Amino acid sequence: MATAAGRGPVRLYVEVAGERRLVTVEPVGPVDSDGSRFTLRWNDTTYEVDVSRLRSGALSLIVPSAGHASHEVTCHETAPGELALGVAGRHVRARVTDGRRRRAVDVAHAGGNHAVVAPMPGRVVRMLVEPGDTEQAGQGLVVVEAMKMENEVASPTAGVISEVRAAVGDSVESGAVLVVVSSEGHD
Amino acid sequence: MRILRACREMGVPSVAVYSECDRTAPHVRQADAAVAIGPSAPAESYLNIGRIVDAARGTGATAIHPGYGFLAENAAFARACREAGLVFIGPEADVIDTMGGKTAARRAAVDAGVPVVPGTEALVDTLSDDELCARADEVGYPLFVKAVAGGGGRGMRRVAETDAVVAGVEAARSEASTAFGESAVYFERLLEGTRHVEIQVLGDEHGTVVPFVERECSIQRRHQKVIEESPSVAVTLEVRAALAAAAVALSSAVNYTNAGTLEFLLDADGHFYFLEMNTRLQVEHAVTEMVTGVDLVQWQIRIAHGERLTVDRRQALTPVGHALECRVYAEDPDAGFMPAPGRITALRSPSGPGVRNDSGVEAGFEVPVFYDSMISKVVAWAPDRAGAIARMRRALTEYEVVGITTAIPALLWVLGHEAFVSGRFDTTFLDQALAERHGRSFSDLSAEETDLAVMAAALFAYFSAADTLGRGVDGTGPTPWRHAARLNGLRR
Repeated sequence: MATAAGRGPVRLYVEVAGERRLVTVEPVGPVDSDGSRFTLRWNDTTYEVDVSRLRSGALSLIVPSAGHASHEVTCHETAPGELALGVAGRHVRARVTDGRRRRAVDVAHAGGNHAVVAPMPGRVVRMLVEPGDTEQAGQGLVVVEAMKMENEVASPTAGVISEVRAAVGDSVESGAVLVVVSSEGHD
Repeated sequence: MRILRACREMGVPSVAVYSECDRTAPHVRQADAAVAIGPSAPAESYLNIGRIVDAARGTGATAIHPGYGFLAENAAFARACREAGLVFIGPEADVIDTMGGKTAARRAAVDAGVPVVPGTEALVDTLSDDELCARADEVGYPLFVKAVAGGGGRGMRRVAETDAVVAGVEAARSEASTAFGESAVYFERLLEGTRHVEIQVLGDEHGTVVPFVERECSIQRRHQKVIEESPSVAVTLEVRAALAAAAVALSSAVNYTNAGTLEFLLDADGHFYFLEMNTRLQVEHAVTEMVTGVDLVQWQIRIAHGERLTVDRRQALTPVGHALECRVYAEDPDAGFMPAPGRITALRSPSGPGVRNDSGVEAGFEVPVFYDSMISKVVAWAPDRAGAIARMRRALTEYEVVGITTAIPALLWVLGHEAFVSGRFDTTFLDQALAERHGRSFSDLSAEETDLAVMAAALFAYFSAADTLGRGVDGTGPTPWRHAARLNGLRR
């Protein structure tokens, strides 16, 4: 299936292992789900790669310039822009953003509201804070029980609790917002 | 699933019971009949004896296999089954009582002439602090305070000196009463540098007990088994014969029937000490099946129906090749092995020569938050240990679980660790080796692999954006790559 998209190059920020690269993705010829050629460039690296998308969400990659090395990488989007990749039995996290998103992220780090989310599905067994409480970074906010274990969800930042969205006994999904912390940074 | 498979091979119809969250689990769909027994919380379903017995009666089932979790070692459940006219596929309730209680089992072992780890009887609540310390001093340090009803490393505290005895007892008692509903504890000497070996036995109702070649389960994280194998590299033919004789002596002394496992600690000089007995099928039974060719679950069912054991003793004690088992949990090894339940979006299970994967999950399955997070047991067999390790590494690399995080990267690291490969390890090896990593990621990538990850992430984002635009759908909220697609003029 050829898609309508896939003409010009696309530029994305890709962060893997703590390093962010500005990657240019450029299709070479028509884009087809059964196998397409792309040129990828970042810093002084250039790869030409033959890629096929598999039903599982995995990508099959063949790199002609590297002795036709064949690889399979599983990809799963855990949150918008956040990917969990599987490479040769190992897990890798990747973050893909564009320029606008990156600025938004930087601003959030400087100050503002931080949504504290459930790291896994579970049940809220204790709330350790109330709206208006002042918290230090790393301080426990909520205790979520999952798989017979209690897990304390800690504050990512120093700040004031501006909102509490979970209550004891709630069943929460992974990624559900539990508490919002307002930090005192400056924009 | 393991039990269902045995039933089907024997032509025995099966009934599965399930809790709310397991409605679509493979074992429910594959069974010949399935009965809902209540909400997801174990206490209201899988631990509810009355509902399970009613389910059996309602479907006309004649026997119950208790599996290896929940009620598998529960004497009251065994009694309830028999009172309801059902065959309980396991030992007699009285035997579960005797061997399931750790101090009673130790007493039975001493009576049968089997060496035990130095320790005490259950400590009565009325002992004063001074008396507790005196008893601990007699046992010697370091020691464990252990729950009489314990298992899985819970209700257990290490105590290194007299000053720590009282606090250790209190902590173990409180953990034991939460975990097992019974706070009784006892002292047991901690023997250092020992390995965990265990002997599988089958006993029939006609007085025959057959011991099997040992399994070694020294690769443990916080007293939970992670990798098991058979045979053990540390067991000589003489030690194997002695272990088997001890296992038979103790099993026969208590008239043990059906499948059970006797756990021992083995020191560097080949001395062994009885630890405890598991009065059920164990998770790691598959390695024994792989090296002996005996189907233990089928035998459990046959024994429960009064059949005589015809397993050849020599075959049972003479391993063919070597087998390893890895328990694959939904947990994040880079976050201190925190449970990581969620939905498995895609799955490719390992297969090929010498690989067995006993699994209860599949693509689309939501790993429930209510139960143990083990998603499968991968077993690899090869003519020798080195071959089995290579095969296991191959199998785990092939295993793709998308959507959740698994401990596979950590398993691959252990399988490549020099101490594991050489066979020079004891039960403390894994915890020490993990501590020495100081939290370093198990997923360190080479430069080439990092490039590969960068390419895959960029291409995945590219395709996601192209899909969105190609369909002309502008989903519920803008994702970064939809932004990216727009910014970069994909719409032109």
